[in-house]
Amino acid sequence: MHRIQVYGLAVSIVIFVLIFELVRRQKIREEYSLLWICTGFMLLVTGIFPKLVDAISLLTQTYYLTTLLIIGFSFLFFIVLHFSVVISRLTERLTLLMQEVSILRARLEEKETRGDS
Amino acid sequence: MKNEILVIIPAYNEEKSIRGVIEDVRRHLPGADILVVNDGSEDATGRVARRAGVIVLDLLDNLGIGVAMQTGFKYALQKGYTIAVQCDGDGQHPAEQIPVVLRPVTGGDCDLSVGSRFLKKTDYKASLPRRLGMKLFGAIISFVVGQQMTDTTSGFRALNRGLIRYFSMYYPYDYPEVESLVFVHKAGFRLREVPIIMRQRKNGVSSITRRKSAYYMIKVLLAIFLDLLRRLPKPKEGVADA
Repeated sequence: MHRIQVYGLAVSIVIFVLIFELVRRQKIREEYSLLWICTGFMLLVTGIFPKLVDAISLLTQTYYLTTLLIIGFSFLFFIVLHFSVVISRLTERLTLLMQEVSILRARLEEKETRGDS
Repeated sequence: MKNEILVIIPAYNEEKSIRGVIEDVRRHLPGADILVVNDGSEDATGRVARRAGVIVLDLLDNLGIGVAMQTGFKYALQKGYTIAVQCDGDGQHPAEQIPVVLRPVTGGDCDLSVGSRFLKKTDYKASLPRRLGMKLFGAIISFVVGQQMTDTTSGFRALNRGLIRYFSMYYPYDYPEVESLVFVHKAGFRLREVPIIMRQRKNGVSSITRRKSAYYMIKVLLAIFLDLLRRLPKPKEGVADA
């Protein structure tokens, strides 16, 4: 085993444990954590079986590092894309909430002034 | 009759002009209620409007005119108003023309009536790029909705309860004027333009500065294009009152 592979394995284990812990402690909501768990799992697998990356490289006729980068980038890409969806949804909910708050406040004001007079 | 017409005035930092606009509307449309939607102004817009004795909705942050207008529509829907009028808070829309914009809606001729600056010859002036942009939007929207629309960016409008209900659920977020016409058409509502004479802006400047106008064009064009691809919900799909 090359030293670089040992480092790789160590890093992937740390990242996997970190993700797992965050999900377990509900610091990341489950529905948003699926992609992260996949990523961590993928990292772990490639960490344990670096030959897998070699096999893919051979199959696609690319270099080891290129394969690794492509795998890494595609996961990050999906995570970022997923974030855009989540942020849009949050913005929509926040907007709804702020609209409703302003309406409720105005109606409360109306009620209070009517009650005073 | 109570709660018939609600004049909705979206306002962002309009402390100088809002009072005049409110008084104008009151003078020319004494029977209507007035609602100012204060879109997170940093100045005293909300206080000035309250002192003028109208209903004020204070949004907690600046959410853009689309969200502000929709908040007004939601209020109108909840309170049972049958007709809503949209009128800018900067004094650009002359209140004495509101009856002109209102008439086709009260008469049942259309669901949305839009006050157009270009149907009649007026002294309304705009810079060349802005005029060209308006022309382009006019051409595209006319093509999309299948009828001549001359002033798609006009925010001087009146709409009936059916459309109030629809807009309460679906309304474009930013730069809503042009895009909302596509919504109206695709949802099967009838729209009509009426000629109005508009004043030059008294205070403040257009929210669309020269720097922003390129972004505005692209954003609106993209939005229209996407709306055409989208299946917009039909108005009758289970919308309950209040």
